[in-house]
Amino acid sequence: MRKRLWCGMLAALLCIGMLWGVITPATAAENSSDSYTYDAEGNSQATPAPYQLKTVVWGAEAFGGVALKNPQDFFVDDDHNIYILDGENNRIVMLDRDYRFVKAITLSYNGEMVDISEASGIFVNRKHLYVADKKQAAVFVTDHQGNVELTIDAPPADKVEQGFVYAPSRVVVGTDDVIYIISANTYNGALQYDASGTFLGFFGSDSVLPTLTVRLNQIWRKILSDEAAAGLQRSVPISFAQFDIDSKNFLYTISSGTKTESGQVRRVNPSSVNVLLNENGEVATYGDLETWFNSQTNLDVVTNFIDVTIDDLGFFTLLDATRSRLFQYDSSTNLLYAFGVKGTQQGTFDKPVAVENQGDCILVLDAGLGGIHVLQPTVFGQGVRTAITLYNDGRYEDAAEYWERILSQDAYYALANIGMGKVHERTGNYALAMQYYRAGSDRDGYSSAFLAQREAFTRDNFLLILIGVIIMLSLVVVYTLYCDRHPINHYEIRISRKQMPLWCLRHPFRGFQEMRQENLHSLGATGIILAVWFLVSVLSTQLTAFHFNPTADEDLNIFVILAKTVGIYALFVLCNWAVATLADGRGKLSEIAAYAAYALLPYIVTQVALMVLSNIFSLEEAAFYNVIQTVGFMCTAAYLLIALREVHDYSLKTTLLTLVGTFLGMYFVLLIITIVYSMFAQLIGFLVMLYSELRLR
Amino acid sequence: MKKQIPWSTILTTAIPLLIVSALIALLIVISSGSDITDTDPQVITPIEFTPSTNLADEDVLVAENDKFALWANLATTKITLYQKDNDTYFTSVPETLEEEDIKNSAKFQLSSLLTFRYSDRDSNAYNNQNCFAGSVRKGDYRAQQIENGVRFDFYFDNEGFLIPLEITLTQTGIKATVPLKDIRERSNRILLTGVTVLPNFGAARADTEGYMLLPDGSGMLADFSTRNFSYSQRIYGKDYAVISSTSSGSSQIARMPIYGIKRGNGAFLSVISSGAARAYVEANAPTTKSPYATVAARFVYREVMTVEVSQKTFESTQVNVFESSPCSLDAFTVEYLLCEEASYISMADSYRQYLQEYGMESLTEPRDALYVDLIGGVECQQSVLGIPVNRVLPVTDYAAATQILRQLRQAGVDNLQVSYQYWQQGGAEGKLTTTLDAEAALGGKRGLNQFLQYCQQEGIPLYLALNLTDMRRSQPGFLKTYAAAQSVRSEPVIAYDYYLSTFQQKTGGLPLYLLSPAIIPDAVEKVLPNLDNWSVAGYNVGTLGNKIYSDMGSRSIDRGAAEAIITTALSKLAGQSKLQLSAANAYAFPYADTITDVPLYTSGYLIETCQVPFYSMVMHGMAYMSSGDINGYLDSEHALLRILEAGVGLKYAFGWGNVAELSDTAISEYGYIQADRWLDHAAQQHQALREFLSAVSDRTMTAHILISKDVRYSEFDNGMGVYVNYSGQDVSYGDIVIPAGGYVLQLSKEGV
Repeated sequence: MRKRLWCGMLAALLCIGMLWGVITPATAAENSSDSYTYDAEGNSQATPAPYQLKTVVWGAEAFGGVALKNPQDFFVDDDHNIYILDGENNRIVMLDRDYRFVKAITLSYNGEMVDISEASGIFVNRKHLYVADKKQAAVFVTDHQGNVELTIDAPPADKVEQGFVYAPSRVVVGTDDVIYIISANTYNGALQYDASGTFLGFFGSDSVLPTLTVRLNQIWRKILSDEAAAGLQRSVPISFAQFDIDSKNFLYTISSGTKTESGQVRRVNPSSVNVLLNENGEVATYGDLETWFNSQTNLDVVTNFIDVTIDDLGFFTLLDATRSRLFQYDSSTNLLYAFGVKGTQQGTFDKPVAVENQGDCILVLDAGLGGIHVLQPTVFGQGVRTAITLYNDGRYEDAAEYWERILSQDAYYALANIGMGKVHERTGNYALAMQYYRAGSDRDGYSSAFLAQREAFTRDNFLLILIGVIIMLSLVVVYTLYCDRHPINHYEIRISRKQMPLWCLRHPFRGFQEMRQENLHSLGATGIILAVWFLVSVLSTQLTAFHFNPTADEDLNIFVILAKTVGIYALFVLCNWAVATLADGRGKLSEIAAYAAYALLPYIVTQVALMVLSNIFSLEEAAFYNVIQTVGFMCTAAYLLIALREVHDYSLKTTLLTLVGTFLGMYFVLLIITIVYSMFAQLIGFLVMLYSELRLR
Repeated sequence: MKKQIPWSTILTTAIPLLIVSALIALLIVISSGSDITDTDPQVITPIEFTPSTNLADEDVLVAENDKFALWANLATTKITLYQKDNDTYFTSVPETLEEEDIKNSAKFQLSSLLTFRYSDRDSNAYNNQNCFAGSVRKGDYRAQQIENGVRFDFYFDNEGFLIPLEITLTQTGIKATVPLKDIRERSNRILLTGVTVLPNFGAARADTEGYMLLPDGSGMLADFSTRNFSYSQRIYGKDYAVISSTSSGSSQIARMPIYGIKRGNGAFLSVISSGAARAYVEANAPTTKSPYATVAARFVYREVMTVEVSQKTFESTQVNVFESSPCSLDAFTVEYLLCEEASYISMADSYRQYLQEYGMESLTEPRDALYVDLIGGVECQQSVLGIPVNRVLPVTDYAAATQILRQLRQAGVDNLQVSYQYWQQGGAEGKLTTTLDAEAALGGKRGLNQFLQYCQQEGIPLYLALNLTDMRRSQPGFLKTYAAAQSVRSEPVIAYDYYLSTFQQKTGGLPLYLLSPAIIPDAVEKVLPNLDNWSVAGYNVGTLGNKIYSDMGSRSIDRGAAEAIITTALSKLAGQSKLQLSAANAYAFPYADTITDVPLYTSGYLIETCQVPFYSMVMHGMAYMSSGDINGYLDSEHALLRILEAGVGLKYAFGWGNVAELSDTAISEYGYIQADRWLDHAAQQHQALREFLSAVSDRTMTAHILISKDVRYSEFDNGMGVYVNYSGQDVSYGDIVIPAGGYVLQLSKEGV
């Protein structure tokens, strides 16, 4: 016996060892790409590369004989010239639009050189260069030869709160010459100065929304000790890490910090309101949706944006320092693609610190390499950008050509599928439109094409439908008449065991009562009901129309469905039995099982009805759908109440109380299962480690 | 009533308790003992060694033939190779080394004939040592003339190793051999892990005119003046059985075991002729500390892997784990083939001649063909009458395959070379193709026969794809967990997919196991009698020609042995049927009728100054070649230029069904194959280029001129040539204007 067990244990260990497994590197397909986007379910999905390396500008020769030394920021002006803040070399390097060295600019004030070795922000317009220097607490405004014309100092003390430290790290200037400065660790937003350096006020502060958490924290803070309160999330506005300004003088800001939360990037209008919203008017979540928990540091490894740049078409690109990756979004906050990877091969970034647009190209300043990566859009990237621009202008047909080309390279690209869906919907090819919307996981689009198709169908077959309705109505009338002529004396009917489930469905009060009196419950019928319930649950995952089916694209796990239906039912029955035993319930286990199953019938009927109706209703009529769903649910709850009251011979109050007890019991059982499971998993993990150590040492 | 507690209850409670307590006891025993490694005491096996004495410090002629002369200085171990017909020398030590103002350690390194790497069992670091500092300088070596050459035995007293090296003259140059049987290790704790032979042979200063040829992807050049970077790439890619924690960025694989040096008017190509699968090619750009560019092969004598294990304190730590036994091959050998001319095209000639000596034959007739990959089906969950079932989703069933070929025919493509992927039972997530059964969901045996009949009628050569390495399911004789290659932990190796976002491995789905190289012969034996079941032109052997991995478990097959096994398997298959190979590694070359997916790009190592189509340059005239899927390249227009520059055939991949449905399947990478979106384009492109591509398909490349980095000219031995321009501007060359991003064909006829 023991021996067999040991063998079993060993076999189990081996299996588990396999799960732990070995990691093998993915082989590279020819010219494979690191870029991806997220599908509607939040899973990363590969896309063709949107940008490719045009050139890398680096080394000493490229920058006038002196290599860049840990550059921190750069800027591309309207003429596409590039200004690199090469602080540690105390200079600003200017390159022309073709990346040829033009000059090195040194800052001087009254003939004396200004030290900018720790400057971290640069901005250039036709008149001036602006350099933000945290250490010297100044923003230098110079002419294009580097002569300092103005130094922007700290705002007057009466305009800021006490303890404010002026540490300008970034600077941008609007077309109206208003200067915006980010000062490190300021939570009031950007500092705003006019062209002459007069402080105008704070701008674009992230406000603290009075969410429930914030309110709760406020209450907790009053109750808890100071130490404990310090552990709570601090509800202060978040400071800006970086920003950029577009041609309409809207600021794009990135909140500092590495938490993945929505609204990390904002487009702030002059009244400090975030206008960066998706089609439904919601704030989006930026960066990687998939995260990885690093067990060594006990931290989630998440996106950490350090720079943003907007191009003329309204696309904005974010630079993630965590994985040296770029994310490009359109103005409706759709992620077009994430691309770029850390590395020391051409086209990979060593330590990227800043990103800028230069026409269609994206420039990445790499402090590790000491150079600039110039990325130009590929056919795919250019196609996506053009198509979206056309699409946003409402030129759906013009966009179609580009969407087609994108799909020929990547049949899964959601935005292209949705775009093609729109085109086909407009041209009346609803079936094809639905197919595209489905591929793009666009339920609203799908539903709207579905509605159009339904209306077209109704129009075309109006006569048939009318005849059908008339026949149905007349049948109802005939049946009613028949029933009137042949009245049934309900008190004389004797219901057989087989008929009982349906009888209970039609007459719950009487049905369950009679069943109790005559002892007519049947375990066979219980089994059938459960089987049907399970079957209907499986069918509804497959046959519910796409727009009403949130799990349409997921692979179905039969065991999950089994656990969600029969599993929960069994747990309920057991817990109810246990509770009822303590509370003098009369029902036996088999009786509870049967009564509970009979009570489920309305729910099953509703599920079938919903499955059918989902293929008739569009999302516009979702209200009806939801009402039916709710009614079915409440109906089932009522039936369950009646059934349990009858089976245990309880009063309504006791029934309700035992129900609460049952649910509590279920909760605890699930809790215990979870705990046992995780303990078991830990034990297994430990055994695997033990095994591998024994093997290896 | 008194209740009897049944025995079964007691047992079910007691046994788990017993097991847990036994485990705890075991744990206590383990952790109370001192460190486990201490129970494995150091064993010292003394090495008998007598150094040579009284060696004269002068160059001695040790071998000579009509082309070359080999000198050796037995006192400094410097060797010199003289090529008579172009009067050039290559030496193992830079000629100007004495004049350099660099540290002695760098000088020792540059004076060495051999360097090695070793590790202590208990530390995670590896150490490097060179033979000059560790042996020659101390007089701890033996030098002797052998037939046609010279042999050195280097004894390293500090480290406790004896490493021999033989250098012999051949008809094509020299050969450097490390006979592995003569390597000695003194301790079982300090272990030899790697050997680099002739690390400085042909080394050059940054101001020397010339370059190194490196084997990455299609092949690349690194000028001697290349910037401060080093390069290290494993031949045939990483080993699947070696553990790494996350996915590494995508890059190309070095598919040929070669490197070369062109220096002034001399050039050589080094071919790793034994131990290629266990070799890295490593190159260094000149630096101020060591002002010479060098390139050499480093052999892995013993594989070292870092494995995470938990400590007594329950914190995990990484330890070095060594391969159980060192490399099983007889020798590590590098052959240095001296080139007639100092150019990479001449290096390609040398390598071609080398391959032909080993049995590769020349092509005799041109082939006009559009290459087509048809993608069959993949198993996934589908809804049948509302019930979810796992079955094969047809992308291109047998009828659709006929349809695609028919449409291509109608579009004017007369000649096709078709390979059919995932056609077999189970589709893309199927088993090993040992039985060669047709898939019912694609049309069954009858459907396939109809398709094959159509191909025969139309004279379309069809290659069915074989899968003899990737297992997702068990089958008789191949239990996936047993037959799979094992890692050093003796666990079956799983080829995971990785998240693009987090680089972590993806679990879920059917894990992909790799058939152990030890069992590949069994699979081949099973498939051989079935090859005649279908009347096809041949078979596409898929991964067998481009995936190589060891089995580090109890079967213990290292990559060197795996290479031999795979070669035998391929020769057996090739004996029965024509073979199409995709992206073939060098060991598979002799068995290829056609090589598809020829590498046309490089990984872009920073040391690279210029990408060249070396792979296709070598194979031209010996095997028919095609590009990868043109519709799958990131930039198919750019890829087309690469294809023309390399002179390889056009290939497209097609699927007939709704390709968007593949998004969550095992073959989701085929998002580009929708046939109706590409068929016409493919046919037009084929029409435009067929004259050129068919004319050069069996020819050797005679010239490859870099007009600039972005403008190139390739010429073939029938006089045909092509100019390609990768830049964004039109370029004129002589009286030819090459349009931006375009090409110009030179269709002169033979004899012109």
